[in-house]
Amino acid sequence: MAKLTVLSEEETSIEILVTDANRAFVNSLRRTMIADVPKFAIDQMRIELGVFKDEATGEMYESNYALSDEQLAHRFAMLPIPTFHNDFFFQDECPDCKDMVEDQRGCPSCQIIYTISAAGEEGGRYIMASELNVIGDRRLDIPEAYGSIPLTKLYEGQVLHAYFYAIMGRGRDHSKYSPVSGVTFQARQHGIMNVKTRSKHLFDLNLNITAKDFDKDGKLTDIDKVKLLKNDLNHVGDGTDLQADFNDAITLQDVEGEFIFKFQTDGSMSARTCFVQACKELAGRFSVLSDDFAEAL
Amino acid sequence: MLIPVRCFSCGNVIGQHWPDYKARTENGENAGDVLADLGVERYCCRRMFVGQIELIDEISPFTVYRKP
Repeated sequence: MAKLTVLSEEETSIEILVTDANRAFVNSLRRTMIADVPKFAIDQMRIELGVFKDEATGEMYESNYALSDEQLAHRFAMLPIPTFHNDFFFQDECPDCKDMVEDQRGCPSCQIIYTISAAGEEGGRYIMASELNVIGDRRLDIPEAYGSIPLTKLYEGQVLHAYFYAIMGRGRDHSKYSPVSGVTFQARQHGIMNVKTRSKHLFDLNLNITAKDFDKDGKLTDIDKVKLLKNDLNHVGDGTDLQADFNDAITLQDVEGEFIFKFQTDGSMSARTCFVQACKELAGRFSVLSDDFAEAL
Repeated sequence: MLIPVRCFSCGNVIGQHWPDYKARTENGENAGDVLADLGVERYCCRRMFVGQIELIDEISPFTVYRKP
C-alpha cells in the first residue's frame, strides 16, 4: 500500500512524497487528475444581440465588439469555476434531469448560470472575470484571485449582455474540464559522495551544499537539500571547466519505490480536494474491475 | 489580441496576472523579475507574457457602434 507524505501545500498547489509505489501507480494518479477529475466549466453561452438603449441616460449601445463570439465563448470557457463535488451532479446522473432529453437538462443540481452585462466607454474598458454574476449561490462566484482576467475590451457604444451555462465534465472530453496543470512526478533522489577528495571542487565554489550536509556514509537524503545539490552540480557537470577534475565525485541516485509528485490546480478546487477526488476516481474504477474479475472467475 | 486565459502548453490560468505585468513592465521593471514575483514559474507560461502583443486597440476602432 502506497504511503503519502505532504511535503508542501498551498491552496492551489501541493507536493507529495509517494513511497512504496511504482512508476505505473503514480502515473495512473497523474493521468486521472488530468483526464478524470470532474470539474465545472462554461459549456454554453447565449449572447443578446441587437441595439440597446440605456433608459437612465438615453445612450444607445450595440452588441458589437472586436472579439468574435467564438473567441469570446472560448475565453469564458477557460475560466475556473468553483467546483463542489458533493453538491452537484453530472447532467446525465442528475436525479432531476437524467431522464430528460439532453437539450432540456439543467437544474440547480447540475448547472450553474452566470450572467454579464457590461458596457464600454470612451478609450476602451477591459471586461474582467469579476464582472460575471452567478445566479444563485455566491460561493460559485469566480474566485477573487482570478477576477482580474481580461475577457474582452469594449469601447464607447459597445455592450455585452450574455448568459453562460456551466456544467460538470471531465478533462478527457475537453481541456476546460481539466482542473490541474503542471502535473509531474520524478523519482526521489539521494546525493551520494563517491570520492571525498574530488568533491572538494564543488564545495570550494561556496554554493548551497557543503560537506557537512552529507552523513558519515557520504549520503545526502534531505529532499530540499537534494534539490539544491542538483542545482549545484550544474556548476561542475558536463560542459564546465571543472568537469574533468570533479569527474562525478558526487552523483544522484534514484530511491527505489519513492516519487515526488507535484501539481497545481486552476483554482476551481483546492489541490488537496483534487488529489482526494483523483484517488476516489481510481478506487472506483478498480473496484468495478475487481467486481468484473470476481464475476468472471 | 488579448492575453490568453490559460497557458497553451500546461493549462495554467495566467490571464489574471496580465494587468499587473503590463503596468509594471511599462514602468520599466524587468519582465523576468515581474513574472518571478507574480509566481509564473514555468517557461511555457512565461513565454505567453513575453510573446504577447495586444492588438485589440488596433482592431476595436473598426467595430465601434455607429450612431444612426
